[in-house]
Amino acid sequence: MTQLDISERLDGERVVLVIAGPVNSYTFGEFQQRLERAMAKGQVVIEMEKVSTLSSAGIGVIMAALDDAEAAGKKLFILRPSEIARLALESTGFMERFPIIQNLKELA
Amino acid sequence: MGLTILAFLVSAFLFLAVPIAITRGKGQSASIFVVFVDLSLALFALFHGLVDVASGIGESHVGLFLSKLSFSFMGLSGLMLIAASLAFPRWPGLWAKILAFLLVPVAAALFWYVFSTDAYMIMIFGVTEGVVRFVGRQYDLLADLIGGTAFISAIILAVRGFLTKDRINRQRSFLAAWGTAIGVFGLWFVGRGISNTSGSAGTMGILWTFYLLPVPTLIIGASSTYALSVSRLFDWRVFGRQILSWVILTLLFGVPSGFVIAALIFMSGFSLFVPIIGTPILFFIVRAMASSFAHRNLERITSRKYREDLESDLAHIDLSAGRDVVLAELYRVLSKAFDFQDFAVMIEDDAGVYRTVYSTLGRTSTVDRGSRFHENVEAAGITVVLRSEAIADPKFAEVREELLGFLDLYRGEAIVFAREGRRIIGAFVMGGRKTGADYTDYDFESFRAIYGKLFVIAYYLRNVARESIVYTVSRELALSDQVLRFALEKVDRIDLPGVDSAWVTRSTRSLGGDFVDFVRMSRQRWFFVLGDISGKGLSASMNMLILKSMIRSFLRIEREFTGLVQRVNAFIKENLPRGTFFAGVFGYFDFSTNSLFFINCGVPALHLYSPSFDAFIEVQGEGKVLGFVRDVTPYLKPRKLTLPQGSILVASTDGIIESENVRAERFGKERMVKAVHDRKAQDAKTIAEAVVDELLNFTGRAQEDDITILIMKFSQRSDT
Repeated sequence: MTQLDISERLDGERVVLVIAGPVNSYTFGEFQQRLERAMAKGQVVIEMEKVSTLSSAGIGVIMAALDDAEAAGKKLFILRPSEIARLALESTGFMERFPIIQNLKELA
Repeated sequence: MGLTILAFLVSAFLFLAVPIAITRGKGQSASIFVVFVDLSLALFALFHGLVDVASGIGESHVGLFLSKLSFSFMGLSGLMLIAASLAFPRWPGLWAKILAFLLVPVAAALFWYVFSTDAYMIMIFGVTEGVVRFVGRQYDLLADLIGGTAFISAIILAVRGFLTKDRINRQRSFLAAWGTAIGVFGLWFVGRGISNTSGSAGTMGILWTFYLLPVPTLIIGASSTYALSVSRLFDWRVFGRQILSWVILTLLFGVPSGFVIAALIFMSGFSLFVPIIGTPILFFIVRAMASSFAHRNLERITSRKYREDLESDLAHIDLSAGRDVVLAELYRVLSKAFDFQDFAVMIEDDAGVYRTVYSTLGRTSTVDRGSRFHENVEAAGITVVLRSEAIADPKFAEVREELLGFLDLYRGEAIVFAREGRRIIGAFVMGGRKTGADYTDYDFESFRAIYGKLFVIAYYLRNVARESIVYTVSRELALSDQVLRFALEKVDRIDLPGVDSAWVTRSTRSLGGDFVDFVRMSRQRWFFVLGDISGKGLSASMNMLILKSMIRSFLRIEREFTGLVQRVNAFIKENLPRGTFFAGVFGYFDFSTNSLFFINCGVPALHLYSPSFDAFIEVQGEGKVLGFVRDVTPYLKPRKLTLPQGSILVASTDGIIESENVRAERFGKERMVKAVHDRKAQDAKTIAEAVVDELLNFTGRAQEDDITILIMKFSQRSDT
């Protein structure tokens, strides 16, 4: 998969941003825009089950979003990251700082 | 007797104020008089203390002599206060100088009168309960005259404070006036107000308040010296809020804890155990509660919000939007926070001339590198200057005229100089506030807080966003060669025999955030950094250049390894765009011991080839990227590697090991290490290039991430 597909659905008042494909130097800009737009609407969950690549640019987008969410008193969650995405997040050494969930019910 | 220590302590503090008054008062007409005020008050307190000592050991005559000496110096301080008030901030005319000069014979007359007559003191001696004095008939009159003299100086200062137009000098006059007035009142209260209840002129009295007399003089000396030293305006609102916060905490926590301890002492039958054990325990408990309370409820009172918003707004400026947009946005953000109208930015060009690149007034000017103004400012190491400092601070004495002239040109009230190491690369001139209010100490601290962000913008304007380049058809591509060449040229390549090093860096779109840097620390010691700054294209390249520059600046000032890495971390977190982080490794090579000290900050692969085992060992261990948390110090783990003859060090960023082929297979560490191992007999450059070629053959498609690999081979060195 070389294209990044981003779709959005609602789970109650939460926005679930579904990311599929590579988040790399070519696609992170789109990811960033969609994430910022979603965050303006409320609490966001990024579903990353089908992420095939997560480069440093993509991690940077998530880090910035976490900072913004914290500053705005909101919460941002990462839902079921793929093995590749999980390894990428782990590579930062700060895995515990990424709020990862396996199921939306955990937020209930 | 025990309270005599107060006099000596006061004397010591006042003596310490003397060098402060000399250095901070440099170039100010009142400084010499403030020095005399501090000196004479210090001598007053010293002799006052010695009176008690001499009387205590039965040396009544010595005690009397010291008492008169002490009083005379007190008198001298009053006269010097008058002179200081006339000279501050500057002499109003020749008549004032003549008047000050006339104070010299007055002081001499005072010394003569006190020593040659019994008008001030007749006898003094010590008893078990304290000091007994037989005061002279003119004691009260003389004391009133000295107190009155000091009080008149306070009035003169207050009047001059009202009349002056400079707010900084007004603040300084009021500070000295209030300090003197409070000190004089304290002296009167302690010296006469209370003592007269137990003694009167010509009679005997036991004066326990005698010991407290020097304390108010400390207020006079300290306030005069501080007024001479201070060069920034206070934010009285913040000051008032802090006092209010302190009062609230005292009432809510301090007073109740005092009652608790008192109750415990009472209940325990006045045992010493309770205060000795109970007080520290209670202190820590209450301190934690008060701190938590203050954090939750009082921060809104004690702090003003704009600094946080300002930092956030500056962090959101998109540097890739082009020079004009950046400058306009910078003006919008700064003017919103500081409420100013006028703003100008000067940036150094290639010829070393500082030129105006932005001015709301439409004015332009140039300052040549090497001009007296430039050299003085650069040599002084100044980063932030307020107009009030330019007027009042002696460190600007050499350059005051030019600095004020420069501020006047742009209607400026504050300047922030951006420095790359020691070198000034740009200046931001902030104009006066629309409300007419001056910049305060809080604003000064805010400028310091945002300094890093302003530096980044200055660096961008100087090195990246040059007008001639920005308007080319493809900005990023046009910049690529320039950016990368600049980055590569600044590396201090290791030129020691027996060390063969080479690296390859390739970016996906001409521009990237990967970099390698070596800095020669001494003949045998070299610093190195390899890593990947997140982001892509122009933004990543710019951040890479800025980070390289900052690391080199930090190396000059930070000697401690983890301290250096924390500084880099803080710089990334606070100054580079949100979400920026650095994954890499920092290291020091010590070739005298063939050692490498390194800190892994998220470099994914660091391998050492061991000739003894003919195998590569993965040595990077765990690491945390920089720029994620504010304080990374607790996570930093310095490690040491010995580099035996024949060993090879391989370091790479994630781009190499995470690159995938069409079957979604990763190149990985094993392939990378094998590629090196297969060519271990070849030179470092050949190995590095071969690994990259092998990687590109493996992926068989366009590179998706920046890649960097460093190879270092260590062989027998002739000088070891």
